[in-house]
Amino acid sequence: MKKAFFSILVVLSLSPIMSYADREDTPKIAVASNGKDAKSAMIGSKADRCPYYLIFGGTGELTEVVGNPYKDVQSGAGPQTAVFLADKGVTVIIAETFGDKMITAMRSNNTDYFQLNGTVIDAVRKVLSPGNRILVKLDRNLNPDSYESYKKLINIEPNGKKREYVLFTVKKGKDKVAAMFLSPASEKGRSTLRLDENMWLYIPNVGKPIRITSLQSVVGGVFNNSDILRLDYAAEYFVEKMEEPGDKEKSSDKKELSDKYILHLRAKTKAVAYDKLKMWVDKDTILPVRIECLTEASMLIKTIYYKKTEDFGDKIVRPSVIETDSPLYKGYKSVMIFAKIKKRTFKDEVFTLTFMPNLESLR
Amino acid sequence: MAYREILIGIGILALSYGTALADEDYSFDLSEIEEKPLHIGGYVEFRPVLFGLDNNSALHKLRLYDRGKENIREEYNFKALLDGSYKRGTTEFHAIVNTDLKKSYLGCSEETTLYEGYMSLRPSSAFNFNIGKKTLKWGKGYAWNPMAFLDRPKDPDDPELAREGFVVVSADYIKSFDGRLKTFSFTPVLMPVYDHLNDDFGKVNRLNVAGKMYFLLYDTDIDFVFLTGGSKTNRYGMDFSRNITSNFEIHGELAFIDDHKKSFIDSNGTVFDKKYDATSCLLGLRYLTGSDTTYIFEYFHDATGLARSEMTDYFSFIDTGYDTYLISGDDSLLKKASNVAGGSYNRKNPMRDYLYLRASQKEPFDILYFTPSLTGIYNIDDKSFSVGPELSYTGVKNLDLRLKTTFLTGDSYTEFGEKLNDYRIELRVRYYF
Repeated sequence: MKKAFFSILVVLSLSPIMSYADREDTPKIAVASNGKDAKSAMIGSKADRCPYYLIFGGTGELTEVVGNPYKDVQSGAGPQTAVFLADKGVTVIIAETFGDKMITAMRSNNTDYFQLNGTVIDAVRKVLSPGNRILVKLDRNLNPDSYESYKKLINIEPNGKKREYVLFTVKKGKDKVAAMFLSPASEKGRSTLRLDENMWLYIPNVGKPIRITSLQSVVGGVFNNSDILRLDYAAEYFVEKMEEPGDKEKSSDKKELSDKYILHLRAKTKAVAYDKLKMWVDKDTILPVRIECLTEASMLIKTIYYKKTEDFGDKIVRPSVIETDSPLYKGYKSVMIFAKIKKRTFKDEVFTLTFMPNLESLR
Repeated sequence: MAYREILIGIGILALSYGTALADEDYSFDLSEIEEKPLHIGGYVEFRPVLFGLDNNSALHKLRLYDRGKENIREEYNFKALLDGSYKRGTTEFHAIVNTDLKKSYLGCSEETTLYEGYMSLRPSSAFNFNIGKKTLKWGKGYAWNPMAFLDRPKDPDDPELAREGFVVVSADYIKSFDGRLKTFSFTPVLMPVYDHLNDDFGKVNRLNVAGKMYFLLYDTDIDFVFLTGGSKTNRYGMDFSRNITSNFEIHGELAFIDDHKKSFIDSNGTVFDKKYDATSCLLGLRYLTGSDTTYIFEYFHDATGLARSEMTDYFSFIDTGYDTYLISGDDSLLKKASNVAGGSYNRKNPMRDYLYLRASQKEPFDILYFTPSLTGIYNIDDKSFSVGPELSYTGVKNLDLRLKTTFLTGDSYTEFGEKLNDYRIELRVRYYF
């Protein structure tokens, strides 16, 4: 009786967002919890060791409370818990923290995850928020799930001097990106690979690929490696808050809210390059217009501007120019121009260290 | 037909991009990304070097005993490295030719070497086959690679220099997975060693078999390698590399060499051979600070290296040979020492335990494309070391400028104390085309 009552409450509290839920692709959300009582439950601190999982449907209704059968096992609790929940049809897991092994297992099962704290209800509300739906749509509008493209990177110094790089880029799924330099001559043949948060740089003469970090930049300038080898935004961030026209009074961007959504994104893990993003999204096209990259303390690291929407064919209509500047590099600007974005499928073997020297063969 | 359509498409797109982006002053000329079957590139380099000679060092006595004593000598190096490839379908031909011209106090020399020249067949992204002269570049270490069994040794003073390969037949089989094991690849290698074919590798008339298995497991790169066949004794190795955090990487190598034969000389000039199983290892890290300083640190234990006493005896024997030469003009002892030096003693770092540290600061004081670095190599066994400050500037397109100084310091009868030079200053001007 109590459970039924609470379920009604949860459903009612989430009713404003129900209309957003795509019934053909409804998420099933499991929230790590210390208690069975969803009404008062707080999110469990460790995904693999929490005693219970509260499972919610795509409209926010509590559907099941399950005990975590692996909470006391000596080793392998994380991966086993991930598989256990995936077998139950869970598509999203929420907890305060996840171990690396559990993250790997969740990715293998195509399970999305969010690191949140606070109450279980608030967490479910955040994950089902319209903002997160918009973010997923924005990713697909920016590029197909699997594609190839050419990019020109231009670093512009305060005195107007430019340095240009041309790259051939391939991407597959949520976590695989590779790029190869075509010019200038000093960089030709270098290639970079990103598998989730692992990044490598291959320099022909040096031979073996060396590990690089997301905050470095293989080309210098304002774009760092994670900007150049960017994954889907929804793969790395979730929408913590979305400003809408009704929020005009409290918003600092009142004018822009008439034709834009303003999304406040938070990184899913500490390994992501920026702690927070503030993203202005065009309401008609669901494409980004401007993104501010912020630290945890909301200090501005850089601003990214999406410009010049072009039709690349095959229903790919997206900005062809990305500009960025940063208060940390006063007077400097970097520009990324896209060309020949084309849907293309690749074998997973393309995104391996062994294949890095051979990326040219894909052109 | 399809090819012509693509070309027309590229032309139209090139025009439209040029026009569309003109008002922003950005341009993306699509001819830049046109795929060409033939590619020729490379670089030319001019590298003058100034040596501050140590007239009293053992290696000076060994190599320059019959020449006048001078404190400073210069050397002029010219290099042209030509890198070409031709692609047709799934087949690619690739060649790297290196030409070195040197003018020094020892005279002029010219050497042209085919560094690489091989054919690749790539029927699929999961499989490729290579035949020809190729560098395999195994190992994860930056300055040293004890498990690079099929490579010529790196120069720890300049680990990123291109090197000459060996003639091999190799293949790569790659398989990706979902799960903890993300990638597996296997690289079998056949390496023939006969007269005029890889004959500087080891014993001739042998067909050597080697292999590398690579795993990306739990976000860690892991390789297992082996070499057998008789040109060298059997050897096995492994390496790993992993990012602990996004800015902190660790790596390591382990190499087991069966029946390693070491030749060394005592202070009387008697040459000894010693056979033993050698286990070498390397541990290293790469760390990037918030202020863009990159540190590379490595510890290397080379079990095939010479012990302190073996080095001391060698230097002592050179001194004896040099004294004999001064008294009688007889250089036979020095020549004997020189012959022994062709083996273990002639390696860049011939002893057993080393530390390597390189710190480089990207663009300090907001000077774009400018990177100062400091590199140190410390011989733990005899406490001698080299330290090298370096300035690099890449602000002009395709031009790479580097000014590097190296100071060598150590007591008598130590590795760096007995090198030919006390210091070295070199400027490297490299233009890529």
